Amino acid sequence: MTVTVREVAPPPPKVPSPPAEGRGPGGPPPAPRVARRVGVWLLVGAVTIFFLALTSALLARQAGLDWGRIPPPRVLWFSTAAIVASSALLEAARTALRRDRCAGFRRRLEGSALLGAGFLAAQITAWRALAHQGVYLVTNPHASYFYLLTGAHAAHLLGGLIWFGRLVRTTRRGAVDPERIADFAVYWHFLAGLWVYLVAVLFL
Amino acid sequence: MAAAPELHVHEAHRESFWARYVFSQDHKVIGIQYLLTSFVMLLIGGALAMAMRVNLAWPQSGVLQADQYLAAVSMHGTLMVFFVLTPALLGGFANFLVPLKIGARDMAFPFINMLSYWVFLLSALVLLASFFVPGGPLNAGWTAYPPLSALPQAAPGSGLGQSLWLVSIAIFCVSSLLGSLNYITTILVMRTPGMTLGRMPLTVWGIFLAAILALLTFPVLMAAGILLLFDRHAGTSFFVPTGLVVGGEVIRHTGGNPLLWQHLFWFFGHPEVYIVILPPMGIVSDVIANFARKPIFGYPAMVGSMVAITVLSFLVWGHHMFVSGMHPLLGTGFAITTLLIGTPSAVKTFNWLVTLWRGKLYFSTAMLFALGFISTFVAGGLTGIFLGNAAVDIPLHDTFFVVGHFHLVMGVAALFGIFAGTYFWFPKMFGRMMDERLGRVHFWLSILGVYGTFFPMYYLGLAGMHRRIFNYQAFPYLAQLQPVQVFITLSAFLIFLGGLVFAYNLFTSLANGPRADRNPWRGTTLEWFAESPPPHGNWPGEAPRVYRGPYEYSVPGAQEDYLPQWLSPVEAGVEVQH
Amino acid sequence: MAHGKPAPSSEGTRNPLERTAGSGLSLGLLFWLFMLAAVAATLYARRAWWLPPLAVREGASIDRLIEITLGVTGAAFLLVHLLLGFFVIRYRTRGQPRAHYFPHNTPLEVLYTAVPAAVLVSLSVAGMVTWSRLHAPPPPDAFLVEIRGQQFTWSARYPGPDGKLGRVDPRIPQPFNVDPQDPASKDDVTSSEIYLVVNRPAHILLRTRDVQHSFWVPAFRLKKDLLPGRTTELWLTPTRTGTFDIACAELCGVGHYTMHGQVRVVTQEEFDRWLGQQAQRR
Repeated sequence: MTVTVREVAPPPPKVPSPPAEGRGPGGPPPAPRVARRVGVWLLVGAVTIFFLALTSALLARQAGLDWGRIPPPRVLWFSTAAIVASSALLEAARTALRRDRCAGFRRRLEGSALLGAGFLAAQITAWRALAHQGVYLVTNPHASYFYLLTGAHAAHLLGGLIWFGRLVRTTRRGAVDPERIADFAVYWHFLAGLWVYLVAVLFL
Repeated sequence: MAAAPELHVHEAHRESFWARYVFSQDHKVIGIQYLLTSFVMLLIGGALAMAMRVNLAWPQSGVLQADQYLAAVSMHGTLMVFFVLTPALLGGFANFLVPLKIGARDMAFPFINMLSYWVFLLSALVLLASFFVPGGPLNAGWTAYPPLSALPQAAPGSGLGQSLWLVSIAIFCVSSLLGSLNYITTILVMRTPGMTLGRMPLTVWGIFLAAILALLTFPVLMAAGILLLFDRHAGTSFFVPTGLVVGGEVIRHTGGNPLLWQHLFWFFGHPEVYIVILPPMGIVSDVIANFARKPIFGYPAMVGSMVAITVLSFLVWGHHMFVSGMHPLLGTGFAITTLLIGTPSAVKTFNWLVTLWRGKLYFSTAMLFALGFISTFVAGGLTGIFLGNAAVDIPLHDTFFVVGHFHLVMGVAALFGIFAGTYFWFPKMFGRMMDERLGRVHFWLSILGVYGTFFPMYYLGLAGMHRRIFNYQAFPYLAQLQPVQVFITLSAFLIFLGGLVFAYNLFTSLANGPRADRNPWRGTTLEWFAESPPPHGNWPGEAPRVYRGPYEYSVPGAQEDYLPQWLSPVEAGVEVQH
Repeated sequence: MAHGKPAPSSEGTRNPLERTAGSGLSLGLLFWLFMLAAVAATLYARRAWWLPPLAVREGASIDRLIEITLGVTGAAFLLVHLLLGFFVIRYRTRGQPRAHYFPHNTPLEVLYTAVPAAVLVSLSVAGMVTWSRLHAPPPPDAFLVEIRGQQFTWSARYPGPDGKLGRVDPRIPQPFNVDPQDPASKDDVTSSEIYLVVNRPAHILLRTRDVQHSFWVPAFRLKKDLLPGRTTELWLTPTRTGTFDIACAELCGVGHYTMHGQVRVVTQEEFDRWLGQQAQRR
């Protein structure tokens, strides 16, 4: 079947196609690095739309008479500081990595993760403080949106924290990939920016 | 990069049955899983439809009680939109075709791809579970407007069944997100050399744009669903206003706004219908070009019109709410945008017609359904012009006129696109040919059945028959329309029969259809360069590279009447410039 | 050539593509049959299954728009199916060597982008005029009535001699959130009978206290949803006396199909007499 052979082997292309290894012998090759970055940005887009939907519902309701303002729990200052500091520390870690300062990188990376966990702890404290004051989910619309938005944000942050944990673990084993950390940073900084936006919408 | 001989690949590849066929990460297996699951859902949704049709033709038949009828209506709509059309397209065809058609070996994220199918299946099972709970499935329609959907006192199905629906939809949104991430990323970054965006087949464009729409609108549905779940179970009042008395009970919710649900739902809901029409438009383009042996006329305009539809679809949702009591100025705005969005569809229709002009037409079953798509898309789409013009919508809203409209564009045209794609790509998926004679029988039963079923609904709507009505004989001026309902139901049996023929054809062809060669339809796009079915990694050795556009049929001077995308100019013997 | 021979498993010597060649005659005739059937069915429907005779002045412009839209969409439907049928018969494969290679033609594409756009814009402008008129404020001396929908009946509240309806507050649960302390509600008359006065504009307020409904009288053409927590409204001028059916046009529960009501359009004298009788019965 000489015809078939000629069909199957076109002249060698100028750009080499990816090697036919990867996921197991004979399996398809892994996607290009940029794919993960694109994927994270798309995820950020979808989560943005989700929170835009919720906050636009909030803004529509705010015009109503029964809105009922609740005071921002004081611990929210701490959680805001924690999440912003966590982002800053992550960037510092990446800078250290670029300059080959391995110890500094690891310290900052783990510090950033700890601050992220601290943020979650602060959120739980905030909810309990409000409940202690008698402000529950159904107390008034402002409270409903507060619990809902902070809860949804915390859920997304928990997912991010799990991702962070796995990154820290692979870093401890010595396998450090700046690209993967950069992918994660997109999501982590997004969560910080989202938090600032939510605080603004809820309390400004 | 030496080509790995196939034998070596198979030897080294020891996957268990579970890894290979069940929890596969191969886009082709996942695509087939989606497609076959959606066909099963089509059977269930179709059975519900037949029960509804028997009730509407013969209300005394007692085939359904009033709450069961509403449950059937609601589940039929939910199943067809979420569990048939969407997964068959953004799931079935998207998974199977995209890597093949762009020259990639698999999707960008195969593990997430596998996850998306199983999450989808979970959402389907949660939904089907609502058939078995007290109160039964939701009664509030697939649109689930509160307070009817928010208060268990308002209807039997507004109990656990409604909550299960909401949970199912939320899970579905997650599955959809995982899928969209894959399609968009894969199309953006994994095209083989030479496959520019301007050389992508229109099927890929349709899937690409639909995936973008899905990424940006399913989160809104998710948000709405969560708010409604909270109203139902946590005592919040996002949608439920003050002062209600339902079923004799005073309702304690205060301050919510039912219109908020409509805005959120339709902001998702309108793009959703474009999510299910854009891929079929692409499929139909591929099929028509192939069986007319002609390039699709106006490829840039075909892409541009799909982009225009995608953008405009975010701006038209209020046309579902013209009589809702929203501000009249909003109605004016939405009417303008809605009528505008008719223009790109008109452009596409004319482009398909000009493609047929002076073609060399072959009437395969795929081509029959593609031509049927044009006919029914027009028959359904034109009445969108009535409904999109706000003032004209007033008498027609919530009547059978609307039911006829959306069934012809979604339930028929989009479904015909799916059938066309199935007959077209079955050889590639399974390495066998479907029976063309049975396919013709399926087509003829379907095309006659759908016109007989859905066209008369326009007249019912004009005559004043409203929708979601268990027994219209309570209305004297509607009782005389029963003969029309009978005609519709009899026509619907034709559709059902056609479906049985299709199912039979599917099974027998899978079992012992004649073997298919690599390119039975003499097509130009990259999937026809792979084996039928393609192996893991799609092409052993080098992936094909692309030298021309996707529809170079009947190129003057070429030796064959088609120039595949993968054929180098040297081999082709002719260069195409345009 | 690299694609030459068909795979050994194919039947005969023709490849699968060539085996799908057909006459196209039945398909072409089918598309032309659709044209005929659509025309015939629509002509019959206009006498048998069409909008009921109009009973409201403001509905006339809607009916005109429907006629115009029918003409435009009907023409488009016929044109597309005429071409489909013709192309399918004329251009079936019958031994011609090649199709005509014709990938684009800008003037043609511009033409059939501009023409549909122009038609659609014109239709929407005409529609906007009617829409604005329908949503203009009602005349000040309009007949005021509040129509109430609930699972699964219709009822009405009339303002009585003072011409004012009693204040409504959603925090007052029964009945229908009307404030009994408001002096304006003292002479309000509630009834399961719904009256309008012929040739007099009616300003209709719509309220519900359970789920969404929609007030629709097909003979009036006009329709408006009832939203719990809000008052929606519409206004219209009945042009003849009679009894007209109300249908609920928004799914409202299991009894939605039973939510049939009636509007009686009567002369002013008849209405005043009826209202007087209602007041006496209180």
